[in-house]
Amino acid sequence: MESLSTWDSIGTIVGDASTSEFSFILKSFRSRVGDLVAVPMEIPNEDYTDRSNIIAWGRITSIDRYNPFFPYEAAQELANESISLVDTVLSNSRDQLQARVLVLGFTWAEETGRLDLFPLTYPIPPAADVRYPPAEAIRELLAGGLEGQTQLPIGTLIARSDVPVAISAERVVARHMAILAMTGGGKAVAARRILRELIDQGYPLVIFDPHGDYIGLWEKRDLFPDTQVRLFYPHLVMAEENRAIVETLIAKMTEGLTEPQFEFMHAVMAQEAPEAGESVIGYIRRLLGHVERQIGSQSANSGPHRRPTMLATRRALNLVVAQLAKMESSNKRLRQLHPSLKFEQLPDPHEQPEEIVAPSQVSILYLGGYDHLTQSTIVSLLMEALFAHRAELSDRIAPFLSVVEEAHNFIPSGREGTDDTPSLATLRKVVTEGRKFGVGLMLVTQRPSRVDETILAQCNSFLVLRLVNPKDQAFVRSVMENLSESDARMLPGFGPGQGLISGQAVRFPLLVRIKFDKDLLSSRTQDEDFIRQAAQWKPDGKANVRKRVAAAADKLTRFKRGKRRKPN
Amino acid sequence: MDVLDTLADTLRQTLMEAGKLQKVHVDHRATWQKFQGHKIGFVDGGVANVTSLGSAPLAIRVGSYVVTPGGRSQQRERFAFDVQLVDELYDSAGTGVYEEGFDDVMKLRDAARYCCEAAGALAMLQSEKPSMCILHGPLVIPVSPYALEDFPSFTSSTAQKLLPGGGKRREGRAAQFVSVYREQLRMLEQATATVCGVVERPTSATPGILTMALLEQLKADGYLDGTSMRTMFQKLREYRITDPILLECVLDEAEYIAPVALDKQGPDNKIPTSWAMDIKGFPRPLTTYVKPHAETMPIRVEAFRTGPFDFSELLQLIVHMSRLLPRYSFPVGLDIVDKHAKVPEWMSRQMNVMLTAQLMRRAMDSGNPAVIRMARRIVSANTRDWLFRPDFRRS
Ligand SMILES: Nc1ncnc2c1ncn2[C@@H]1O[C@H](COP(=O)(O)OP(=O)(O)OP(=O)(O)O)[C@@H](O)[C@H]1O
Ligand SMILES: [Mg+2]
Repeated sequence: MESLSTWDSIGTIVGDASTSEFSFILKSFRSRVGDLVAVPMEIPNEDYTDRSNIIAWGRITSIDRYNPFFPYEAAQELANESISLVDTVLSNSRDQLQARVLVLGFTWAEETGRLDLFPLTYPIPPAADVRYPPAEAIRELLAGGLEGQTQLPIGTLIARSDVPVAISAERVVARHMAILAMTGGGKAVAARRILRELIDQGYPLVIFDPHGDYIGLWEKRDLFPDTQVRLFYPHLVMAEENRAIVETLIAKMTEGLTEPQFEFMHAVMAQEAPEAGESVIGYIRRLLGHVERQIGSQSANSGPHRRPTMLATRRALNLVVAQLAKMESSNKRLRQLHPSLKFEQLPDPHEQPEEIVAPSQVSILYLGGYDHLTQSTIVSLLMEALFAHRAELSDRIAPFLSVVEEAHNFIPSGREGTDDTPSLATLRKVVTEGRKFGVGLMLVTQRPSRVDETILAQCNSFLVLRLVNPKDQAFVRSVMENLSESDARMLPGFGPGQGLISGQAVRFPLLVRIKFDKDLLSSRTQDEDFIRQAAQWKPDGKANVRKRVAAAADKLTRFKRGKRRKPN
Repeated sequence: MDVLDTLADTLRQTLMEAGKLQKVHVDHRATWQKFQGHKIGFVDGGVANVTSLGSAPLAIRVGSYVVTPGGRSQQRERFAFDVQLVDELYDSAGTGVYEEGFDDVMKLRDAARYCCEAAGALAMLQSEKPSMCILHGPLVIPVSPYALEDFPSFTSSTAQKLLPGGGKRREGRAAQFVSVYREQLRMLEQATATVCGVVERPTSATPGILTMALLEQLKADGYLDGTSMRTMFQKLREYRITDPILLECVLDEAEYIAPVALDKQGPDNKIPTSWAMDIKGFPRPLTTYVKPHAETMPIRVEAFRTGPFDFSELLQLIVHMSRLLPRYSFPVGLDIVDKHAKVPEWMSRQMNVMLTAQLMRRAMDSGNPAVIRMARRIVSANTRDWLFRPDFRRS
């Protein structure tokens, strides 16, 4: 990098400078928070016989502006006497900008092309000159970190739109990534950006989509001519290995089963082996038939289970079937709102996993209409099956990445009192062992503090966008080891699509502005347009009837049994 | 403390009867209204050691700050500074000042600093034409300690610089501290602006010269007899009561002593005969103590007679400027120029540690006891002393 001398000088280092941090007085209007800056300096070489020229790189984490000549005491006096600063001899022209910089590492000054970055082991010299590197130099620096890896461009540096930022595909797909932001922070936009790049790589994707945020990928599938985008609705399929999960589902949906009732149900399940390809609802119906038969054949209190126990269990199972059917139909209704969308029933992941996971295929599983528990069961059943195929090393399916939106519902923290959520154990297994078997997770959530800490901490890359909730900020700090305090302080100030990317997917933490792929937006109304809906709302045709009946019913309630009607 | 109380009470009573106790009416609005549009300048020097120098690690940085209260334009404030290296100021005839020749480095430094500050004030008067020029420190110092046979002269180019518009080329005796400084003071005295110096936390002998002058005057005016005066002198000495200690008890908030023209050059027997004529002719600044705030120590103000403002107006401004710095109670404009003249903050903290270590090593290498003594003082100094205000104990 011979042109080093031409890099603009933007300030002078002041105060303590170390190997990890320094401050400098910034010339006005020459840089911003998030900018990368460079300090040319010398370090001793390995045997201490000579020195080498290096460039230390850092990122501006905060800029303070203050008037060094304004004593605080004066403020009180000015206020008390209601006089203005300019009427006195006080000074207001010497504002100083002091920037704090986090040291990222150093590169050799003579090197060109992709730059190797090393940890700085000799302190930055006080009073040194701070330089503003040209875009090309930063591009070389960032590119050096991703040598030999597939790059996924995600946006640009916040402070410099002329410097693109890319992340490593290899690190994202195998080592898990988390996207954290409050609602509206731009999580879905960021996830779609990354997914789009992975689609270009033909990487198999499975997306769990509770709100239809990813349906745009299907609608705009023409943008990906070499890729098959498929839209699925859930179909819970039984398998021998699923029995425990279904048992959990039933137990939780029927909370309040007594111990004998639960034992009875367990016994029934043990006797009714699931058939291949059988739906969960079908299986529970079969269990009901079994219960029915047992109730009919057994004279009162003669068998191992008391009759009231069996009756109560029957009631509970009926309830489960009814609830599942209701959710199935509400999912269906939601799908029918958009007749143009072609949904397919989710194939049996045990029998036909390659229908779900395949190169150049994106599978979107739409979970709308199901409650959290059932959504979690669905994710658990599917991921268990897919993971098993990978773990058996049968090569039945390719490695893949699965995207879990609303991750706080699928991997809730123990504090939420929902630690037996079915998907929790499944995803914990995936996050710890997935790397070995090529199963990656992209976890997306707006409430990081409600997510299981150990699972989140195993993500090797983080994209953190705007976060305002102090609990979430504190949590993110505890999970991301290398998040500095000043970075954490920036989180609430980010605009949509602005954030911090850190972890193995990048060379060092960077402030990014995610590129917004507007062309991936669904054509369906994005923001719920309730104002318009309310204006256009009219009572339905049966409203008058309902009113009449209600009035009659109201009258009826005044009749009391056993008393003669008194005129009033 | 009965002695102090009695002395203070008596002095206060007598001063009041003699009409020598004055008071500033505290009113920020009226005061700033009065000074609106008047350029007010502040000058201060700082001493710093500079690593790149050899065994003479001293540089003097004189800063100036000029401000126009009520100004709304970019020109409202102007900051400037000038740096001088001490060993380049003196004519060492080829040998380093510190290696051979005169070995009291402190004296060289202090003398250089006084002249540089005065030069800073003169330069400001010339370029900015302020209504008032306020120095941080005494306006006139006792010069006898520097009136020594072997005290090096300034180089003639330095002398030229120290006397902006000062006329003829100076050499030898004419370029020595006493001559140059005297000429500087003469020029300051003749300035059209009000020129003054303000000393915070003043120190003085016992009895202090202001107290002595006051008592002498009160005696002359018939307010006390010679015996009472001598008793009071004796008690002041016995109990080590200095000017600031006594006047702290005499003065109330916003009060000051009617100014006294003080001869700061001390008793004749202390003045070296070879310089006696010159030193006798040094100007006598009007001197007072004022207490800007009830809870703080009084500050000393020295001024020359001339200028657009009279003494009471000067004191009015000083009290109000000091009240903008209520806890420290010292004219805030001087606080600003002090920070400006100071080596930047960062040098005096962490850097300080490194610099002083280096300085200590160099001082040891030099083998010069004066340098080593000074280096020790720097190393043990706290942040504020780091700049080495000359101490005013002699004044
Ligand atoms: N990178 C970006 N650049 C510009 N605008 C963006 C960007 N990302 C998001 N936005 C804006 O913010 C809106 C919300 O983004 P997005 O749907 O990704 O938020 P979210 O974090 O997923 O929110 P929610 O939690 O409500 O699902 C977008 O419609 C867009 O207007
Ligand atoms: Mg979203």
